[in-house]
Amino acid sequence: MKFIISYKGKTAPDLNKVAAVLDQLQVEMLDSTLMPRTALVKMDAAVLQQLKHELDEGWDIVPEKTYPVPDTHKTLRKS
Amino acid sequence: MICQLSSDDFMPMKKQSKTQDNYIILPVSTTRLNGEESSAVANFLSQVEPAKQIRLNVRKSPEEPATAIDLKVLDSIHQQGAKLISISKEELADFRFSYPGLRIIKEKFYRPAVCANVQIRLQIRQIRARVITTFKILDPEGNGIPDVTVVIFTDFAIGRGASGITDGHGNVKLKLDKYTAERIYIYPNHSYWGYYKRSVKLSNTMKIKLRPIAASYTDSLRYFYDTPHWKSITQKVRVGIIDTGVGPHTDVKVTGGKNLVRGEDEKDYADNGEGHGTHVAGIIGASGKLKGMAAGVEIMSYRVFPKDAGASSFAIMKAIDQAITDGCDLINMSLGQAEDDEGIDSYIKEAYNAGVLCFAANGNDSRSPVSFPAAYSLSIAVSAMGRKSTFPSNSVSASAVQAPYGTDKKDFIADFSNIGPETDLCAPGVGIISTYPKNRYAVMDGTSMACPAAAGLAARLLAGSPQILSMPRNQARADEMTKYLAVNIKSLGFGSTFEGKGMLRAPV
Repeated sequence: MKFIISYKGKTAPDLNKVAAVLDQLQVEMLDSTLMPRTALVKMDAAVLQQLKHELDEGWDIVPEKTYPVPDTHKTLRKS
Repeated sequence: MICQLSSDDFMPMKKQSKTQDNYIILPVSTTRLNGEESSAVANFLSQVEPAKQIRLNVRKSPEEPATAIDLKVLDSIHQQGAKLISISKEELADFRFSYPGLRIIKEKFYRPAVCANVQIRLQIRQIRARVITTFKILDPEGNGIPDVTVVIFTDFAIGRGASGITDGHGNVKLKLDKYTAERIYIYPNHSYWGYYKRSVKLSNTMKIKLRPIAASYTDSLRYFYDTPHWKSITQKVRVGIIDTGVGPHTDVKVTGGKNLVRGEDEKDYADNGEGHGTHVAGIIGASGKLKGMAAGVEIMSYRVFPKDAGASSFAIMKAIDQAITDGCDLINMSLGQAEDDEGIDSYIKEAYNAGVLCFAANGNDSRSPVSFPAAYSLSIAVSAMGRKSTFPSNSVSASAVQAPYGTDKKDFIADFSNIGPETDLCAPGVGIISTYPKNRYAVMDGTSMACPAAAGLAARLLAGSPQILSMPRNQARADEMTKYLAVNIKSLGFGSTFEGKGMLRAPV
């Protein structure tokens, strides 16, 4: 699963520690262009609680969401 | 400034007749004042006290006298921080436009996380095909139109029927369980108006001719705003469009942009082929055969939708970040979904802190609550309205007519538009003609169309206020932009749940 990790702390995040934690838990970094505040990572959902525990306070982890292209077409209900 | 808090504002309230709801109000970035807020916001948060009833003077337009809105402060976490207030839904939009630097969050109530009995309904329907009908979708010359979506309801209430897409000859064969179609909806991608009809007796072959789009047609957008005769803006205003990409189209000049879809070429920010972003861009800034709301505006295209797939919330966050970096003044987000998205909220907040206003579509879920990110209090949420006689009577757009009607009974809030107290503005979003890739034109309905109508007019209005545009890019700039727009809004009489404060007025 893909998750977005984002930092909301007041002091600068310890990026070396973040890298070490991700490495230790085998979390794959998919996109780090918004670092040091935000990044997209890939990991097994079972690792989520451990990652939350290992990262410093201030880091939030939310699943990546998907937004559909909006339209107003009427659709049939699936039975 | 529209609304100033003074000792006169702390007047005892008269009898409250409107239903009040509770909202938590916070500074824009933090939970307490940090010195970055406007003086109005700082005064408001630091001066109000719990159990105090307040009357605020709000000026709705320069020529109208100030009117009063009432609110009650119920609780406070900190003298310099969060307050719980009670205010009527009808007056919420006025309050939001008067204090644009405040985050306003509806008070929620949580239940214990106990597991309730799960009710599982099994729907077993055995549908026996009684009639097989070939639908032939034709242009006025009798030629078949390919790639047209045909949706036939034999029972609209339970969503029963059949649908398909026409082949290269304009034909699609559908198996139906009744001899009568309750409703027929036909959706061409471009170049023609859609088709809508009720109670149609079905035969083996049904020929339906579609009406071509004329760029000179007076749709609802051009009924309210005479864009064909408006001059191009000359002041630099830059609008970021977060969508399927923009163009190519000779009517739409794209200044720049970026493709934020993971794995795609970041330099390819043209439309991915679905046309949604190009349609949005045309409404904002087309300048050719068709004229948008702010011809002459600088359009930046941020593509977040892969072809035939949804946009990642991360891509949207990157797009907002890029739009801030690129110096956009406004951002248009004709997208949304039902659940709150903290990640996107935080980037909208970032944009606001950088003096950039984000417009977002209310959503098209038929009177459902306002979607996110439109429902986020720092977004400008836009609902869709329409006007009778601005689309052919047998077009799909005609099916969007529903109450409430406005002060002018020809105006209505589109049946598909989401509504709620988070709504800030309404704008035309029914039967809107705009640009489509490869120099075509298309008619689309949606809050996706209303949103750029509002954002485009906001760009035109702000072009008339270079003193605001030249302010340092910070929260005060976003506050001033919001207040400037606030005095150029007119209520159409739908009520605030449907229209927020109303519709933006064109500059004289």
